[in-house]
Amino acid sequence: MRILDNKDRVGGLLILAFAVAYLRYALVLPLDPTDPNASFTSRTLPVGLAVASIVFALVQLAMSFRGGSGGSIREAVRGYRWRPMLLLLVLMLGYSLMFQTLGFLVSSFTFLLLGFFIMGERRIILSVVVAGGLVTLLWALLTQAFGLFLDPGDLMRAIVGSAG
Amino acid sequence: MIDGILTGLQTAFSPINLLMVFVGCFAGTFIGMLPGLGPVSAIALMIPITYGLDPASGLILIAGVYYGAIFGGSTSAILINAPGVSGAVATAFDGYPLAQRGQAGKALAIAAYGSFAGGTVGAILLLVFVPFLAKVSLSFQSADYFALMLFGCTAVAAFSGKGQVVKAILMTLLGLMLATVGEDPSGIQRFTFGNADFYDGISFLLLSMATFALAEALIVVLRGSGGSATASDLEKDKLGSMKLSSDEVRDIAPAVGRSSILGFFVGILPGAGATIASFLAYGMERNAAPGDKKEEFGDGSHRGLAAPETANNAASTGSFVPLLTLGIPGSATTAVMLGALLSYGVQPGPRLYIDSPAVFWSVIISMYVGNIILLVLNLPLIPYISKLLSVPRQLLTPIILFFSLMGVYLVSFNTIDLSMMVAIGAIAVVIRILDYPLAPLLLGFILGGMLEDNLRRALLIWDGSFAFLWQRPITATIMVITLLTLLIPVIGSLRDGRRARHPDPFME
Repeated sequence: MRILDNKDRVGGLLILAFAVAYLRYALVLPLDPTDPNASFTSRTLPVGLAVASIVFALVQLAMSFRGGSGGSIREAVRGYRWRPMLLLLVLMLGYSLMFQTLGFLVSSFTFLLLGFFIMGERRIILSVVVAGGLVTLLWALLTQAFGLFLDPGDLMRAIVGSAG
Repeated sequence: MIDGILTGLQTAFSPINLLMVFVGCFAGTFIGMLPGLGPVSAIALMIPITYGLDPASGLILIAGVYYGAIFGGSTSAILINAPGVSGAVATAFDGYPLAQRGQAGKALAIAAYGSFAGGTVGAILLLVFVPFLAKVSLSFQSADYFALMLFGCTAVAAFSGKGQVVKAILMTLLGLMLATVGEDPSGIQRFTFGNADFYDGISFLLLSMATFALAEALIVVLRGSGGSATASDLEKDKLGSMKLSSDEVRDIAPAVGRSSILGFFVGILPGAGATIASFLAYGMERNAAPGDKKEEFGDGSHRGLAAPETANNAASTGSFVPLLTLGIPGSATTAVMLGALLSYGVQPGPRLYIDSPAVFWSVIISMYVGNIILLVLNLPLIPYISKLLSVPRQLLTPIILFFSLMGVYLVSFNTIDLSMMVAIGAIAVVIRILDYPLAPLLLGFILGGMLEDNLRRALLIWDGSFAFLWQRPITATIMVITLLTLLIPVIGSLRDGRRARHPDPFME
């Protein structure tokens, strides 16, 4: 797989694949039924962009093979700390999925607390104070000063509902 | 014009707008100081807050954030050798050595005075050029605009680094392709795959936050770099005096003058921007310096610090020229500003000068007010603001991510946007690892809709013929410039590739 250990080449290949898939869909985009023979249709620009992208992606690939451009990916990522980065991505995804259920306050507080932990912060009191303070401050600012509605979450609604 | 300026003065000096400039400069300095967060991220983070304001106040706040972020970037470059923005890289060459010699205060003062001078000259030139260019561009038609949009897209590639030309073109094309997602002007759904969340297309704010703020923060985590500065680096008494002697002022004054003008004109060019301006000014001053002064460059030269700082501020002002006169952003930052303007319902371009003189002139005047605020208020506060640099990275990164997510959520109140942002952020990290530039992607995305609208209109006017490209003199001229801008660097890249395969034996 040494052939793929080149930043320019892999980038060129990914864009080429994207452009080919884009072109495939661009060619079957629906046309305006009232004027199907118009000089400019919904397909005109997408097809043009896809063709140009394919041409330039091929130029990039050719340059990576013939000119030896592009550094090694393996070299570039040596020493990278993948674990915290991937965990933060998962955390953000979890935040977006749980936001409606847990609501702004609980989900944001949990997000910050777990984020601090992933980044290596082990001082629990400090983490709780910073996360709690920041979320409460933002909540007060947005809801009280700017009058915005922040979803309290399904869970909070259920608790308040059952208590009432 | 005088009426317009008076209206602008009235708007800019209203208490609420003065407060906006102050808040913008202050918040921008704060955000810009954080390594990894530049003006694009700073502006993107502030946009949701501006939605509740009127367009003039919103844009004034954003302009303040822009200046503040550039100033903040220079501060971290000088104090901890970590430029918050690429335009401040050249500042670190001489700023950091000065700070190491215990003259951080002096270095910060030179940076602030240089920025002020650059911003002032830039604002004056803007005052002269913008109305003139706006009048000229009133005669522009859809065909010319289409050509100009193409020029805007290709110019980014021309100014990208060596070996980056084709990559920049590819990223611009990718941005243009992403811009076609959603409903087209004839009401046809494109690339939505039946998902209602895509009907309005991808939000520019989501894309800019994901590709800049989120990706930058994640890359810093990946590299394990950008840790907080030690407290001792930032102690107030270590900054030293902020006063400059008259000899020092005399020494830097010519460099500041030259760099202001150079910076402004480089800033006007689409795609060039503050980074190129700062490097050009640094190079120009080093070459122009007499023998003994030349040797000081890189080792704490006052001129070497003043030149890039002046030029990058003047260039930031210059980059407003194409935005305000033609509605074409010349950089990723002004692209985000254009997106913000469009979302306020303001269409930048020659009509802005006529239709919304209050917005037009108040923004220009506020730029100047912003420069004064940076000098008078921010400089004395720097020792305190810089304490932010000592916030531990393990706390700062999740907070940056949280604010990025909230920035997008507060615009749409749709959690699907958050998931989409995370996905785009992850893709942006891959793109960054592969060394493909993200600014052209954003520029292509913002220009995409306007490019298609103008092409559609031009083709309708010309009965479906592309003859307007060579038959309309203005369009043809812009197209020739566009082709040259595109072809010269591409040929250069190919030639470099060939040279790499067949090296000149005499050069070995």
